[in-house]
Amino acid sequence: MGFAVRVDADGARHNDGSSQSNLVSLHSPSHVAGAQSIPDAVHSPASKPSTPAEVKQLPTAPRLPLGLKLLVGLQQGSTIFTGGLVAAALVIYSWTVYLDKSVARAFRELEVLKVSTQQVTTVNETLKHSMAEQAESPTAGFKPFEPKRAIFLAPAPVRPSVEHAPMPEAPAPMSHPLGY
Amino acid sequence: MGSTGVPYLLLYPFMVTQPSNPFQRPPARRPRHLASPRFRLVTVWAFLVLVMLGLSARLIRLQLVMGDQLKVQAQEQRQSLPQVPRASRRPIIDRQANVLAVDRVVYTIYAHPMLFSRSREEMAATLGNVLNRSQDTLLQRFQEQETGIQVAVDVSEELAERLRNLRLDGLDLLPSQQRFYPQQALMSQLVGYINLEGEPQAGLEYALQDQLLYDLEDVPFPNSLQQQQPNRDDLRLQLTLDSRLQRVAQRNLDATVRRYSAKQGALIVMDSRDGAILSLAVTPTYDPNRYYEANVEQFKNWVVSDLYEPGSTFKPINVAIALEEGLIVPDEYIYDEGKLEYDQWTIQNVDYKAVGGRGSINITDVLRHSSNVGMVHIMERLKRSDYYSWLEKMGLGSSTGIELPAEALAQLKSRSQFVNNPVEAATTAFGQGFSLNPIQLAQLHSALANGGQLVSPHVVRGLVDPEGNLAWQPQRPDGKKLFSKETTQTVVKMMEAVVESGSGQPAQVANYRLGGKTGTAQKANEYGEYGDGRLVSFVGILPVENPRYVVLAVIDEPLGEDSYGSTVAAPLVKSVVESLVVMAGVPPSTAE
Repeated sequence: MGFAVRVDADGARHNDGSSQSNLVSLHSPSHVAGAQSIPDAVHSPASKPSTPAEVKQLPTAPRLPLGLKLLVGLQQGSTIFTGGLVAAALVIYSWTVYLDKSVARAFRELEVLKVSTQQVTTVNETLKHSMAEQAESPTAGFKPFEPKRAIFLAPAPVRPSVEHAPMPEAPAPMSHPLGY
Repeated sequence: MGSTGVPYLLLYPFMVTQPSNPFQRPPARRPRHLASPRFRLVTVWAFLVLVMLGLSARLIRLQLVMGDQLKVQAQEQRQSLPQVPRASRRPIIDRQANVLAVDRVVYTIYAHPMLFSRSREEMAATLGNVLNRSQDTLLQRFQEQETGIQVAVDVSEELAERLRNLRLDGLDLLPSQQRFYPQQALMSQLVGYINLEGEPQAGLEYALQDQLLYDLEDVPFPNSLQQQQPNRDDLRLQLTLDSRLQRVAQRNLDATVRRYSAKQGALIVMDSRDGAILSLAVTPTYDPNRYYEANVEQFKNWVVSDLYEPGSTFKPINVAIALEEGLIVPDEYIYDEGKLEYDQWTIQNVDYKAVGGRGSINITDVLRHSSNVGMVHIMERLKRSDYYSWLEKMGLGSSTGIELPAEALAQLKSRSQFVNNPVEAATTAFGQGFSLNPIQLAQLHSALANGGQLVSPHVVRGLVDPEGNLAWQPQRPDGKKLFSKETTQTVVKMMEAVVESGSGQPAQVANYRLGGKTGTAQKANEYGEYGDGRLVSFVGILPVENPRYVVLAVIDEPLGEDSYGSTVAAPLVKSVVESLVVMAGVPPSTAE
């Protein structure tokens, strides 16, 4: 803002179409031509279209009442909030679906495993039984349990579980000094 | 703007993401007519709002008004899908965790030729190949009927999976639960069976059905009705039985019963310390997998459901009573005249004709020669009412507490009959005139083996997890004390003499000290008289120096003149004891 506007009483009366004379350069006269910001109120509207240096005031938005401003703020806030809620709902919903599905999948896997455990058990026991039956036949060459063919070992005496490292014998406490 | 203000508020909830609404634009200056964009916009908007309202109303109706009804309808449709029906049960295992009973899924396969996508010849060839059946028979059946042909039953899971992977049209695989008994006939008298309808019918399957059934749990399937199915936890019912010993016992018992053409037989091995039964072989027996082929009489376990007169195997119990009451001392002499008259009844020793009266013999000899007259003289010293109280105290007439179903209670004469009639006490002295089941006799001998404690015989250890920890255990009463340790030690030593040099010699096992007593009882026939039928038995206690195991063999009606406890039952006990000492790790007795 290198310019100031001089407003005087005769300025309005002796307006001859050039506002040049109304301007006082504060710094250098070469910049005077570019000056445009002149408040509307000091110029008569009739002179505006004719003067090239006439400056047009931009329309400023009307100042909203406080109540309306609050409501707009509320609307924007609630929009963001609602958006967040929708996103959260979607995430939670998809999570529950995923969880359900994964639980169901794990459950089915478990059932399959249990069934195959049953199968393995069944086959294993059937095999054991048929082996035992085969072993019973005299041609199999197995001998029945008989004490004369068995070796009985007496259990070893229980040893202390912790092996004590050979400790140097603690010197016997001497109640009185020994003389050599 | 005024005209759009109200609808905008209505629209607001649905169009949150479009804050810049076309209606917010300054109104056009053009005159209103039908073609104006604003009119068209309002129309379209109103139409959309109406559609939305309609859809919402429909949704509300479906969800809130008809919801329950539709849910029921959906359930009905889903439940018609084939599922594995029937409650399933926990496996039963033996002492070493060998499986005795386990559930398995088997399939019944139905074919519907009208739905075949391939030719019938091709289907018959494929099916015949997988199921190992003749293609021609299959093809013939396919030609006969258009639908619902039962092609195979009891098809295993593996085969069913192979069939499913072939992706053949027109085949139905219906799963069903089946109880499988891998050991076949070995344990059937204990374990029992489940019939084709899935109901337990005998044995432990019947007696412990509540413990064997799995709890139901909800199925966590999304979008499915909350159907329940058994929660197959890993608990299993463990028995105290040892399959290996059972196998030995069953084989030897079968051989003995066959050799003497006996009616039935049983062999019990009991651990006297807690009453756990290690082996309970019964013959005749059946395969529970094919129970429908068995004779109905075979379903009962006669060891618990039949009574018999124990005969001489009861004599050691009587001696223990007399010793406990202080009526005799171990080395006392009793006069055995060989024959006694009781009113119109005659009581005589079994060898009276051959040997006659034995004269004065000590208590050990009474048992060694199984002298009936000697026993009568011993028990005459006990007041008959006290004697009857002893029999009651020992549990005759009440249940032993074994888990097997249909236990028959011992039959005693009434107290007044027993007290007023001397012959009743006299016959009871040598084990006749009353009856009990073999399990109870084994229980009484366990009291001799364990120092006088009356333990409850049992076959069930409880429900165990895979690590073998008990999750459930049947309640058992604490055994009462019958005899003192000195009394039982004395009686077991006397029984050792029976095996060493008496009627029990055939049961001797080299290097082992075995106490025993033979029994040959006459069987009462259907008229209540003693007939020709015999019931021979032998009870053994081992090892004498530290008694623990009781082995009882009972053979019902062996044929042949030479069928006695000593000739039939004692060798059977010997054969089982030989395996028992090895399996249980009983070291040979050190020479005295």
